[in-house]
Amino acid sequence: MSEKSPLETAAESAETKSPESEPSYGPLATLLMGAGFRPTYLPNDANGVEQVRVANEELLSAAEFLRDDVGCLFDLLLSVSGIDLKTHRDSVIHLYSTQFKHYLVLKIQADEQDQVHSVCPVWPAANWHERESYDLMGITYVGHPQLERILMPTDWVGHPLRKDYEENDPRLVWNRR
Amino acid sequence: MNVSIEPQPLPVLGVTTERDFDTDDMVVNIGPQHPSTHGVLRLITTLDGEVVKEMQPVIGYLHRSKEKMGESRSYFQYQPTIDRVEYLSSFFDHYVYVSSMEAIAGLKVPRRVQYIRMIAMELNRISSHLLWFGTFLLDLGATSPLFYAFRDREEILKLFEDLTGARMMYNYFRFGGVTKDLPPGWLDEVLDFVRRFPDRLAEYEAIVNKNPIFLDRTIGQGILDKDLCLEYGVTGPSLRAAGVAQDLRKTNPYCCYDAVEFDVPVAEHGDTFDRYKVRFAEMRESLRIIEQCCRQIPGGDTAELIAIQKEIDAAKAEAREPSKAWDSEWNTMGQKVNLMVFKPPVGEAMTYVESPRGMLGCYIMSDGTPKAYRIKWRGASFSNLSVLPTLMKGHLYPDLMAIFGSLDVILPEVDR
Amino acid sequence: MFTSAESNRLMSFPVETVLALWQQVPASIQLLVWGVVLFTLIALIGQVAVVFMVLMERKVLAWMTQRKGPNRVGPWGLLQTVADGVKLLFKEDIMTPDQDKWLFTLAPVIFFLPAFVLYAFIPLTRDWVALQLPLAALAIFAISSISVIGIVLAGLASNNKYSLLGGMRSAAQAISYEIPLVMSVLAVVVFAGSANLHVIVEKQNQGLGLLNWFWLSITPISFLIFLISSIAEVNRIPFDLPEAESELVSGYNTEYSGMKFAMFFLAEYAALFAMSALTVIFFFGGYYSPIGGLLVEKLGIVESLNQSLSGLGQLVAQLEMVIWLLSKTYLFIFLAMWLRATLPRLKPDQLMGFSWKFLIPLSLINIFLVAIEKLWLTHNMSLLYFVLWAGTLLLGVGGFSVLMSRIFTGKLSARLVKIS
Repeated sequence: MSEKSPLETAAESAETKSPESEPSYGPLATLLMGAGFRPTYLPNDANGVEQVRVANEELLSAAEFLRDDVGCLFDLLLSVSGIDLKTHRDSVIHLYSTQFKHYLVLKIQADEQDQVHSVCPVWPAANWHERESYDLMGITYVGHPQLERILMPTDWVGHPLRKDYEENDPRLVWNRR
Repeated sequence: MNVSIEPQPLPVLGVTTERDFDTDDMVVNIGPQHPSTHGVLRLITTLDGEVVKEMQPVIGYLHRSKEKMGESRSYFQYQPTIDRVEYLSSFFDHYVYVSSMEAIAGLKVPRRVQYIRMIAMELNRISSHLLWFGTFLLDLGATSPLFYAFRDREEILKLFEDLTGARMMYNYFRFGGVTKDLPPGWLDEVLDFVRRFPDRLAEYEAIVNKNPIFLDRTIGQGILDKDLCLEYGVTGPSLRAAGVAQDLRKTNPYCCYDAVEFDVPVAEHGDTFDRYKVRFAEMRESLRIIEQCCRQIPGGDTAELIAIQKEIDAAKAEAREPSKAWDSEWNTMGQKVNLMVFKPPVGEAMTYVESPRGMLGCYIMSDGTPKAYRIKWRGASFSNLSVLPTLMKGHLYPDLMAIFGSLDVILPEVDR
Repeated sequence: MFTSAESNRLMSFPVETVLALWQQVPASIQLLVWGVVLFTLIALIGQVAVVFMVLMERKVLAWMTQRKGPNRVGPWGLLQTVADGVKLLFKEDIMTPDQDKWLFTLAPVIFFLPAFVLYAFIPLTRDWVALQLPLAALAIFAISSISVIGIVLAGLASNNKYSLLGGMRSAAQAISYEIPLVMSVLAVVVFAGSANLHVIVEKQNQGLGLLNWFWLSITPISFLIFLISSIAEVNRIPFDLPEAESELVSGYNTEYSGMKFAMFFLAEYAALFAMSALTVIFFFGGYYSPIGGLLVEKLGIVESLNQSLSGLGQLVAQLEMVIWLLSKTYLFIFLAMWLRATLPRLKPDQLMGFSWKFLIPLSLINIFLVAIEKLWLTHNMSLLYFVLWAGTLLLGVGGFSVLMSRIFTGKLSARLVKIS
């Protein structure tokens, strides 16, 4: 794949910061930075929801901070999903606060073995969501109490939502014609 | 192409040596084909006599790979299939999809369209709750309220048929607007329905609310308190029955919900009866919203708009000044969008909406091509169902139907 | 029965030879033959009733929800059950090797027979009864409780956990509700002074008819307890836990197909018919009209008919008694179907709590009450007994009912129950 998709060029241009235009971190990212974490800047999404990229190593402590700190109080985990960005996979967490009524999108880049820390100890709601993300995207959540397939049959091979998923895999009995 | 192969160890479902399994326990398989599981759901239950010791739901029977489908079809080709993500609240599915795309593409939506969307969504909420009411009582053993509820649901479905052409899978919203305007006289029919419906609701309450059998089966059963709800991500009427006043229409208003007056019913105990009460009260609040929308809608009834349009056309033909002006807020489509080759800019957006079951969301990531790069659906029932094993521990097996029915789980939303 | 003289005048000449032979048969054989004939008659009536009851149930349930019931097969759907029966006859009789062959086949028979045998006791009229026992009231309930064994066997032999659950639940339910059933009948027996069904019916026929029948004259408590318990015994909604459709698919008869399933199905309706008939006999005046006695006797039709053709008047009187019995029975069958359309289902703990904690103490108080009332009546209504009776009624029954109703409508339990 020599051509870059518009997505990748856009992502690159967002990540490279020129000295003139310092990206302005949103209030939640500032809060995280104040607590000692180092989030990477991400632009708000089209609906104005703040997005923040957190490193995998800091994820658990950042998650606990986000849930407990009186400045943000994210008590409701809405969903954990995965995005296949061809070179790597991202795990995306949607959070909501019933006290402050705001959303937050946390993105975590999975490492080379597609591993991400599980946030189940912080929000038990993540249990099923992470199982689905593992099932369909192949991201392994370290520390998950019961990481097994949830939507696909238990003996399925492969992770269907990936971009390089081959539907006519000869190992799959269903597809034998 | 490298396809990663992970050998999957077959999990032993339901029975492991770590758990406390007495050899007198019985492992019963409820479903996937069962009259009462509201869809195709398998519950592997460990029973000690009639007491549920453990329960493990097995889902995925209804997995139709909706998210992968979104990546291989253009936005417009994908749109008719999203009604089926949650078939009882099709308008809500459409709204989150269309609204995310409108945010990405920066499309402006006229106010009339927003009001039309609001009326459609609230009527959809009422029809979903009516079906829930009928099937909930059917699970408890009473066979008649189902027919009563469906009688009223018929009227709503007739209204939808006049509006969109279909009774259940509507495909009515478009990026930036709706397919076509309301039929002339439709608003009067809706107001007629709004006028008739409260008496019917009072009828249903009279059948059910004082029945000692019903009260004994629902009061104090299946208590889902606030902490449990927030831990498991339960939203919607179940969360409101636990005492948390969380309704996206009030807390993060979308569409034009801040222009109408309504209350959000919240109960205290979080048991089955409270969830029943909350849904009933929500139906009444939806009626209030619909009535206000019908009266406040910009442009009023379509017949008047047709008359205005005729006047403007006649004036243009006769090359004179039209006596009436056309307000752009009355359009049914914001901007001209070429649906066949719709190439939105690069971007991503997520929209959440208060569906009859909870917070329903859609996250779209577009990469500038006519097909989406990633579409993620967050169904409310997915998290609502995950609380069931914890909730059922220690309850009796016949309670399962009452509690599970009161959670109002729709399996297509769980499996997508 | 008819005397030989009347019979001679009633029937025409060729039958006289048969009658002459009949006189020679010993009396015990005569009794046996009459018993068999009458039992066949009432069993036929019962079976036809059951066949139409299946249709009646579907129609009644449909009319209560503004639908029409089955109306395609035959005029007004009258042949629907026939079609159902034919279909079930043609179905394959599925039995897996894991199931106990003998018990599996035996269970529907054990369930079906007692309901049928009950028909022998039910008096159609004053004279037409297949079996007349001085302790009929006791024998009836002894025989009807055998059918529980059939349900338990069905659950056990099906090799299916759902069926097992259904069978166990049903056994618990049947045992719980037999006690209040028999005790409410005991009150009737005490008041009437005999367990013979004919005597019970005759005792109700004195006086004002409807107001004198036992449902009112021995305080309605006995009647209500009997009504509730009989519906519980027949496994109808609100007590249909053994066959709770939404929970157990079909409970103890999940694994049955074809004719065996039909036997369960029909036996349930047969039991309902028998129990409704018993309700009428014990509490609603049996085969007499609501204004006391028989209309034909009151209007003198019997004598006028007897003038034209001897014995015809009696025949018409007997027919009228049958009509009264059957119409009142169908009234109670309709009531059972009405309850089915309206009420949700009780849970097992609710069900058994209701029986053991409410119905049984109440029926004990009721027997006491009836005994006092009987003493009051036989001792020329002395004041002492009346005061005792009124006191027991108010404090015992009234106070107890109020206390229990508070617990059962959840007002107390809402504060007491906390499930973690």
